[in-house]
Amino acid sequence: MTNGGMNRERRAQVRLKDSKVAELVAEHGVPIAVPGEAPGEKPESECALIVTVDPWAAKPVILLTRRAVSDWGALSERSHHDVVRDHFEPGEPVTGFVGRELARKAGFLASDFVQVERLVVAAHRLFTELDCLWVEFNPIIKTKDGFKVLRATIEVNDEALYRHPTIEDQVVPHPASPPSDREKTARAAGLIYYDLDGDIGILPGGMGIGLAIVDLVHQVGGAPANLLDSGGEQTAHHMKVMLDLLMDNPKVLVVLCCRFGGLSRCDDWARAVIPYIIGRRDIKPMVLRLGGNNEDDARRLFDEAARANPEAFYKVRIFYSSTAVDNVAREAVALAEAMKKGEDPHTGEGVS
Amino acid sequence: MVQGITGNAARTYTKAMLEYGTKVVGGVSPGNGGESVHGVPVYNTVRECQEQHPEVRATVLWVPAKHARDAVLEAISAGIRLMVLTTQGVPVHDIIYMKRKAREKDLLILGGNTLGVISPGKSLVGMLPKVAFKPGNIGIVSRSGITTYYIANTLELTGMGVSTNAILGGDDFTGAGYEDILRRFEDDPETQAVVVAGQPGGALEETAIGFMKNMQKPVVAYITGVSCPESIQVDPGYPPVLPHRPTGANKVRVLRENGIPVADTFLDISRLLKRPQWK
Repeated sequence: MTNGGMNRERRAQVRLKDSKVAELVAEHGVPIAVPGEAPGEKPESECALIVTVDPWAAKPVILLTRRAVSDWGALSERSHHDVVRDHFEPGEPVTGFVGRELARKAGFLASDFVQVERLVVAAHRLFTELDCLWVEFNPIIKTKDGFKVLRATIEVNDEALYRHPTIEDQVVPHPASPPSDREKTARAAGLIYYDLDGDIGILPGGMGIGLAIVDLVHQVGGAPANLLDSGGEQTAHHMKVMLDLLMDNPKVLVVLCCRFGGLSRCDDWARAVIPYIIGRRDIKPMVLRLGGNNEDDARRLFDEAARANPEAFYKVRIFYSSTAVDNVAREAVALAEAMKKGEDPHTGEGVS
Repeated sequence: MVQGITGNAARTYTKAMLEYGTKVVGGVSPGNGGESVHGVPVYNTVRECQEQHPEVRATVLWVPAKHARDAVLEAISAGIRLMVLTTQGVPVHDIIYMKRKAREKDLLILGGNTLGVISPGKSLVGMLPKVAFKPGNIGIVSRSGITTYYIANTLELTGMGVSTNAILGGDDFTGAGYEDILRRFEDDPETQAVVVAGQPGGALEETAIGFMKNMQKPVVAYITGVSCPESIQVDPGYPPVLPHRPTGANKVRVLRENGIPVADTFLDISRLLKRPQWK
């Protein structure tokens, strides 16, 4: 579950197509309406259940309620006592008595216990058999003919799809806001990129530090223009794609790059970035911070490049691990503010 | 020991660990027993390695995601006290099952998707870069590895260093939680204060609040994602068993409501650690 919900591009769960869901639910002995089926008689009652993984307990949990639910996220045990739950040890099956006891706690009629048991057991079996992160039967109606699922949703852990070849091609992407043109360009290049509203373009390392740098820029009074996961690659081509995204964004006034050579090397990063700085004529002001492996070699490379190409590096300020990243972010914000006031922030100090 | 030692990444980082001074005594790679990697003997099974090296207490795993569960269960079966699972993309059901099995025997799993653990100047288990961490008395436990590079760098610039840095892993479900590490920091004579670094998603930070509140040693939290749009941070259908959407801002709020100081920036971490009331 790479970054879980933090990164929708690497979303950990994928939804199965409705037709496949209906087929699977029926195979597990649960009556279910087929997609497009016309509504029948008015039900006597409705209920809903889900099986998911509780992050708090790190265990599967079943939630059952005697009503249809429009927004599970709005529910909590404190405010909705009619939602009952039960946790299970990972890897252990759920047997019939569990479903009956849940039905009793939820207030179902005793005459309905067995049918509710079947729903609970089937949902849990689907959850376990298919490496699901979410199995939802909602709503479930009760008519004179018994319980029937009107709608079921199954979300599978995409990292486990390799274990389920029969459903690999039965997944659908989650609905998401339409991406911007820049976001589409980034995705086509295999990058994870989100537009934000500010004027400071951010080029960090991974997504974790990306979030931190976005926060940092906000905290020191600036406005980030994007969130970007560089993915660790440091080739010149990769750098060009990412830096072009930032430089071509008309909102961006300053580009802030924070790079730590931990698993990688600072001098490799320098070799990828220097040609870009030299080659791009309309470069926007850049604030770079480097630290980590081969930091001194990177400094030497930047110093040499700046001496050889003073015009290209006029707009580039470079800091190293001896300067706190908070203060580097302040530099970027100050540059952006100066530019918004129409000042020329470049006093000729260039590379520091 | 190193499980999966004959793979490329394992070879690279085994060498780094040896150079750092970590006592890597054996490796495991089924079918490759009898080989040697950087002078480290390779065995076919964990038990075989353990029989030859009964002093083994930790294993770091570089194995494909589809073999992670089996490899970790093998280590658990042998009673290995610490498992550092570097593998990304381990299915959630496998993670929570391994977590359960480890807990039953009071063993510890860092990861999946972890860079490992380092006690600067002493030992490195995993892939954390030695250049980032200088010795000191501040413990760090974090979900993100790279964030700890910046935390450690800022600590160094403000006159502090790191006792041990442990990475839980970047995913919402991990083998160990914050409390598993905080408990160890509380008992560690070389740790005088702790930084807890978190991020959006899951409930790892929230589940440790009770322990954090009762710690004798100072705790400072730092949570990323506070200012990022919620739609990027968390899925809209977050599990209904959580009392709030697991955004960075909500985690900060809950921590502060429970009296845990939360830093706003990296330098703020140092400022909070140096507060007079903790001296």
